[in-house]
Amino acid sequence: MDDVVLLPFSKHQKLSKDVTYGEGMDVISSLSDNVLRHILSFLSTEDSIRTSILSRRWQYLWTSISDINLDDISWSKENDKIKDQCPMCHRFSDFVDRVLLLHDASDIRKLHLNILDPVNSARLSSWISAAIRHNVQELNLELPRLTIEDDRSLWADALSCAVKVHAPNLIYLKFASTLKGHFHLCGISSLVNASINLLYGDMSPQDVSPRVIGVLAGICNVKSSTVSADTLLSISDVEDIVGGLPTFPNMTDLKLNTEFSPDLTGGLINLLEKSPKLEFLDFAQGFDSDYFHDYEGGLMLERVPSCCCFKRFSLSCFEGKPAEMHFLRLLLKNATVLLRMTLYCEPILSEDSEKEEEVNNQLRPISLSSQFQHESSNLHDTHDRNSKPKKPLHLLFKEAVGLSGKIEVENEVEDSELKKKLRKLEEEVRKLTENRNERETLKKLVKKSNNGDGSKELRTITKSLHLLFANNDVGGGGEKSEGMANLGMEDPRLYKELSREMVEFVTHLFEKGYFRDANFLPRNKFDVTCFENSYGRDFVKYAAEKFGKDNREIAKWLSASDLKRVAAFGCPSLGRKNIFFAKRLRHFFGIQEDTVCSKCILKPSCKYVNQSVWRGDNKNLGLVVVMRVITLYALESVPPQLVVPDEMKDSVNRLLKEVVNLSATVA
Amino acid sequence: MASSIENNNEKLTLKSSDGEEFLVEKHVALQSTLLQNMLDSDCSSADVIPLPKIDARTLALVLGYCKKHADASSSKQGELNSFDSEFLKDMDMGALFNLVLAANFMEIKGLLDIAAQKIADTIKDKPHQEVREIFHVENDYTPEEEAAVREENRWAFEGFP
Repeated sequence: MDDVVLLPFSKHQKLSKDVTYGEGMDVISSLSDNVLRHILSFLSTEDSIRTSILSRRWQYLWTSISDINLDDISWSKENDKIKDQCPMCHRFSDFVDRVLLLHDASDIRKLHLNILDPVNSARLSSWISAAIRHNVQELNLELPRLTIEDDRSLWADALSCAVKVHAPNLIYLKFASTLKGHFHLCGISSLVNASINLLYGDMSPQDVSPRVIGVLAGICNVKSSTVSADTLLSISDVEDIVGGLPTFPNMTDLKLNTEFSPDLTGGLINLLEKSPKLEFLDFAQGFDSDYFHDYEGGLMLERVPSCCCFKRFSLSCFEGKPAEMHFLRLLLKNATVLLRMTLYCEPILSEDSEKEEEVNNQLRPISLSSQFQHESSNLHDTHDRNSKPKKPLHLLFKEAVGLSGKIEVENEVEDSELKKKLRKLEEEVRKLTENRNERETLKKLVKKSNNGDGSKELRTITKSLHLLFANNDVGGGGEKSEGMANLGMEDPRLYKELSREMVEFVTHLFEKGYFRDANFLPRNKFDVTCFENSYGRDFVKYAAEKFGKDNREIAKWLSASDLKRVAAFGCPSLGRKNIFFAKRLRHFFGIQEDTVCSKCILKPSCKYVNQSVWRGDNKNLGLVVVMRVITLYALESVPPQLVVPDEMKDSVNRLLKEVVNLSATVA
Repeated sequence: MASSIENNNEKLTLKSSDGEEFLVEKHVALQSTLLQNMLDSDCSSADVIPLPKIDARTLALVLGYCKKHADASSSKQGELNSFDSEFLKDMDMGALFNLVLAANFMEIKGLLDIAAQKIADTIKDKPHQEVREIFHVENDYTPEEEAAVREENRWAFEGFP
C-alpha cells in the first residue's frame, strides 16, 4: 500500500469505526452539513424549514437552501385562523422577510415567490435586493401589481440574471428599464394598464430592439398603455426584428408620454398598425417645439384610418403652430370616424384671442368638409387634468360653439367660477346622454337593427348634444326643439311664466353679462321665452349664484322681514347644497331647525332633518346663499308637493326687486 | 499485482474498510470523480486503492451502480432511470445512509442524488415526530425551545401537528 496515495484519506480513517451504522443510531444527524443540505435541496421550502424542529443540529440547516419557493396559496388556507390569533404577525410577507434575512452566506440559486396580496414596493425591493446579494440566478415573482425600475441601483446589480415575470393577475405594470437585464414577461393576461418607459442606455438600437419587442409581446393583452420616446424609437424598424412587433388586440388607449417629433413617426406607425382596436390617441406632451412637418407625418396619418375604431384624439400643449395645424388637418381629413378632438392650449394661444380665432377659422372648414362631428366634452377624460395649467373645458366648450358657427373668442381666464358651473351643466347633459344611449341600445336590441341604423342613432345623439351648445341660427328651429326635448330633463312639464320681478332680474343678469356664454340665447338679444325649459332655468340658477358672489355686499341691505319669512318657510328643494343654503339662512336668523323641519312636508325624504350644519356665530350672510334660495322659489323649481304660499312668493319677488335696485345703485 | 495493473490499464483494485478487495474496470471506476482525480494525478502506482469509509456491502452496491451507468450508453436513459428507481427500492435506512456517505465520499453525483432524493422523500410531508422516529433523531430541545422554533417558523408548520 502506498502511503502517498493514502494521505488524502488519512483524516477520514480516524472516523472509520463510525462509517457503518447500526439500528437505533441517529444516523442522519451525523451526516455532514453538505450532505444534509443536499438532502434538503430535494425538499420543498416548507418541508426543509420544518426540519428545524427535529433537533438543534437541524435548527438552521435550512438557511442555506439554494432554491427558495414560497407560495402564498399554500399558506392562505389557514389564513383566517392565524389572523384571528395574531392580526399583525405571521403574515406571508413577514415570513419571506425572515427566510431571506436568515439565509446564510451561500448563494440563492432560485427565488420563487407567489404573492397574493399587494406588497409594499419597498418590501419587495428588499426581497429582490437580498436575492441579488446572494447572486440569484432565477428570480420568479408572481404579483398582483408590479413596478420595475431598473435605473435604481437595485436593478443595476441584477443585470447578469434573467428576470422572469409571470403574473396572470397583474393589472398594472410600470416598466422602466434600460433593458440590460433579460426580462421575460409571460402569462400577463389580465393586464389593463401598462406604462412602458424603456431607455436605450448605452446599448445600440439593434441590441435593444429585440428586447423591447420581447417586453411588448409580454404585455400585448394590455388595454391602455403609455409609451416613451425610446420605446417608439426602438421599434421604428420592426422589419429587421425577428418575429416583428406583436399585435395588441385589446389596446384601446395609447398615450405618448413624450413630445412628438419626426423621428418617432416610424415607431408610432408600427404601433398603430398593430393596434386594430385603438380608439384614443393622446399626445400628452404635445409636439416637440422644434417639430417641422415633413412627408413622414403625412404618411402616418394616411395610415391612421386603418384603425377603424379611432374615435378620439387629444393633443396637449397646443400652440397652433404650422406643424400642428398641418398635422391636425391631415388627421381630420383621414380619421373618418373621429368623434372628438381635444386640444389643450398653451397660454400663448389661449391668451391671444386673435390667434385663437385664426386657428378656429382654419380648423372649421376642415372639420365640416370631413363631416367631422364634435361631441361635447366628456369630463371623465379631462377632469384629472384640470389642475394643470391647461384649459381643456374652456377650449372644448368654445370649440363646440365655434365649430358650429358661433365664434366665441373672448378672453375668460378669470371666469373660472362660471366655467365650473357650466361644467356641472355639461356633466348633467352627459349623464342624460348616457341614459339615452342605454335606451337606444335597448331599442336596437329589440329591433335587431343593423350597424347602419346604430350609427345613425349615434349621429342623432351627437347632433342633439351639439345643438345644445349651438346657436339658434345654425340649428333650425324645429331641430332645436327636438334637441331640447331629447335632453329629457326631469319631466316635460310646462313651466309657468316667470313673475315680473323675476323677468326683471333675469334681464338684469343678461345686461350684466351673466349669459355671455349662454348660446341658447339668440345673439345679443334677450328673449325671456328661452327660459321656458329646464336648461334655461338651470342656467339662471348658476348665473344668479355667480351674481351673488360678485355682489356680496347687497345682502346687508335686503329687507330683513322678507328674508326671515323665506328662511322660516323651509328648504326649496331636497338637494344637499340647497338644503345647506336654506339652513344657513335659518342659522343667520337664529331659527331653530326643529321648528322648521317638524312642519316641513318634505321631511320624509330629507336626509338632514333637524340637523344643524352651520356652527359658530356667523353673522355674515352672503348674497350667494340668498340668491340660491330665492331663485329656486322664483323659478318655482321646487318639489311638486311643496306648496309655496302667495305671501312667500311676494316676499321673494320683493327681494328680487331690491336686489336689482341695489345692484344698480352699487354699480 | 502492480505490474498487472500497469499492463492492463482497464482494471484496478478497490479495498473496502473491512478488507475486501474489488477488481473493477477502469471505465467503471471513472464514474467516481474521486477515483478519476486520483488516476488523473498519476496515482496509478497504487496497486490497491483503499476506501476506508466504505464497507464491503456498500461498496458492492456502489460498484453495481457504477457498472450499470458506465456500461449503458447515453441513449438508454429510460433504462437507467428504471434501474435507479429499482436500485434503492426496499433498501433499509442503514444501507441507504451508508450509500449516501459512500457516494459523497467517492463523489458519484448521480448516486448521491438518488439516495438524497430517497431520504428527502421519507422526510417529505411527515410530521417531525415521525421523522425523528424514523431516523432516530434525538430531540435535544427543551420544550420551551421547541415551541419557540415552531413559533418562529410557524408559516411552514401550517397544517402540521
